[in-house]
Amino acid sequence: MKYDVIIIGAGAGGGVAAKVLTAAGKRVLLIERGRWLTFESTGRDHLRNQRMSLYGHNAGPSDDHPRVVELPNGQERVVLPWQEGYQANAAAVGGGTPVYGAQAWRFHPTDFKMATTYGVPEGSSLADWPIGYDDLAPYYEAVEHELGVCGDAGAMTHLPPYRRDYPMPPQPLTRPGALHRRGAAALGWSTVPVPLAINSVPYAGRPACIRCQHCVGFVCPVDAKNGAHNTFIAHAIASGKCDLITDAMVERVQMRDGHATGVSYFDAKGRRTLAEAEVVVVAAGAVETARLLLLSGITNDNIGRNLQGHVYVGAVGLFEAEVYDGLGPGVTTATTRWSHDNDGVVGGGMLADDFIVLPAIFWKRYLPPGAPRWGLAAKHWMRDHYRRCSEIKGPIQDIPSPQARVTLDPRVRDRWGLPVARLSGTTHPESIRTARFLHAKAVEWLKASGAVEVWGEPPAAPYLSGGQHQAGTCRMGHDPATSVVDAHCRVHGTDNLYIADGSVHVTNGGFNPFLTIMALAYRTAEGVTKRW
Amino acid sequence: MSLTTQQIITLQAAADRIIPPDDESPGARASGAATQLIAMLDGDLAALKDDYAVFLTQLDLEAQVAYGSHFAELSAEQQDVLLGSFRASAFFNLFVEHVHEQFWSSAAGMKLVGFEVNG
Repeated sequence: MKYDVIIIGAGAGGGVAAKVLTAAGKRVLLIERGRWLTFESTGRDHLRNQRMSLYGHNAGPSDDHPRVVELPNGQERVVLPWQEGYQANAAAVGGGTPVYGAQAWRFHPTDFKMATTYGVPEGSSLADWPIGYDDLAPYYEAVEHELGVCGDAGAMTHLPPYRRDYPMPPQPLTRPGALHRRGAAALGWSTVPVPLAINSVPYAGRPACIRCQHCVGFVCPVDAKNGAHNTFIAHAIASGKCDLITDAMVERVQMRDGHATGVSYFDAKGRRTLAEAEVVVVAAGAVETARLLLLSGITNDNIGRNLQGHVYVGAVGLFEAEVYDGLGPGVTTATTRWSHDNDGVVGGGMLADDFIVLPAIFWKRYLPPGAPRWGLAAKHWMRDHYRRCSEIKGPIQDIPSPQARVTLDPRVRDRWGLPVARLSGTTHPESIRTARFLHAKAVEWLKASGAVEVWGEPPAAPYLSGGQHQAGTCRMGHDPATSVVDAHCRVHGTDNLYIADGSVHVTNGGFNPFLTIMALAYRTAEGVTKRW
Repeated sequence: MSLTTQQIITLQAAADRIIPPDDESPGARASGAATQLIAMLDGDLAALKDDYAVFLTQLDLEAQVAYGSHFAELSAEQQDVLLGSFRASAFFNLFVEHVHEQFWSSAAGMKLVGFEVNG
């Protein structure tokens, strides 16, 4: 069967593209290596989830998808999806969105003009986007309403005024959120309610959030968290024009003279299948999209370079009284005061309070140096501190490096015989300077909020950041010598091959990136329909 | 190879000193955390089972050398002294982490810190 469009990857970008293209009357084949998730099938295992994957995780990818990681000392190791260094994002219908925290941030206008604003640090590939905030604003707005985002547009004073407010009011404030709002006010910092793709009130036929304690990393028990799976993909399928194939691994995009003719893939039973289309859209995530382009024989030295996600900073504050109130999802209050215009550093980032922290994660990641590690003292330390702590954390805008890279491993192959992704390099060292700056602001905020003790250090050295926020490996640009796709997200040198995921981000903003991935996919898919 | 009965008894006793019971809440043994860890040695932690066997045998031997009894039969104070002598051992610290992982993800651990699941 010949389709109008084949989309590879049913995540944030691919899901939006499927909806926009089917709404324009196109016949779409959507191919996903994962499967549908349910609350029952993913559960609430505190040691095996997308927030902490000590012994596995709950939303894929499976161990059929190993990678090779090159360590700074030159050694390498094969890693499974839940192991350190893999740069995992969930592999499922909806991609990471069924299990994400759903922070629905627009990027800052300056995020699109990083090189012009700050210059290019030596050895970095910092660059401007070929499009700007104004190009994306209408698509941000469309996604906020079709997906369902709660928030307060009037509070987003770091952005140009919104044409329409969010379709739902923000989630009510939590006890730690109220403390942090007062703390920021005491410092003279503005705060905003964190925009979330979570129903604060019933929306589009699904219920309001029940304020449970297992949001980020888990599937919502009442389907009040909005992702690609229960919005855009559901609409695409309901149109009758979208065939979704799950458990299918794409082998390559079939190319002839700069023209994509279709794709070959292995179905759930391992049968190799060919599908033809007029247009192919790759939306497999920044690591797998780069790998697939390389497997498809597309030659451009930029493919796979500039892998970036977010270097995170955070600090934990201990308060005199209990601050825990058990009201999920937990993240309520952010400041964008330090996103830009910071003396002596490139860029900056957003800071916010955190999702409810599971006790096992608290033990693993929140203990101060010197806390007792075993015996009654350790047990009582947890009992006496868990409900008195609150974290301030946030992503800094990574300064990209061309050496942070996805290539094809020369030896290791997956179960389909395809060379696996090999990851190497680190973020540019300049990112660490920005991280130290933002970390100091997190500490300052916690103290102003009343914390009697604060602990947690910024990262000491550059590392490879990718993971759930992975981006950058097929960046947009006008010049094929320095980019992979053009300003319409069409792969240079091809006439019908597009990319619709975080790969095309030139830089990744100092914010969670999914809303930008969706807005850009919306624009890209609309562009496809307009030119054809 | 399975752990011997003696090794399992030693593990349960040692885990109960990593997270001891008190008036307020169960320790690693009564909470099920130690049992869960033992089950993991046939699952996700199978690769460490031999290391566990060696560690547990050594701990029990040290008990017999120092006090003339199996580790599990010593007083809590004696058990703590012996465990403390492993403070610098990487494997001991791994064992400590394994016990905590199971305890803080158990119903007893969640209840102790006041993490209540609603919805």
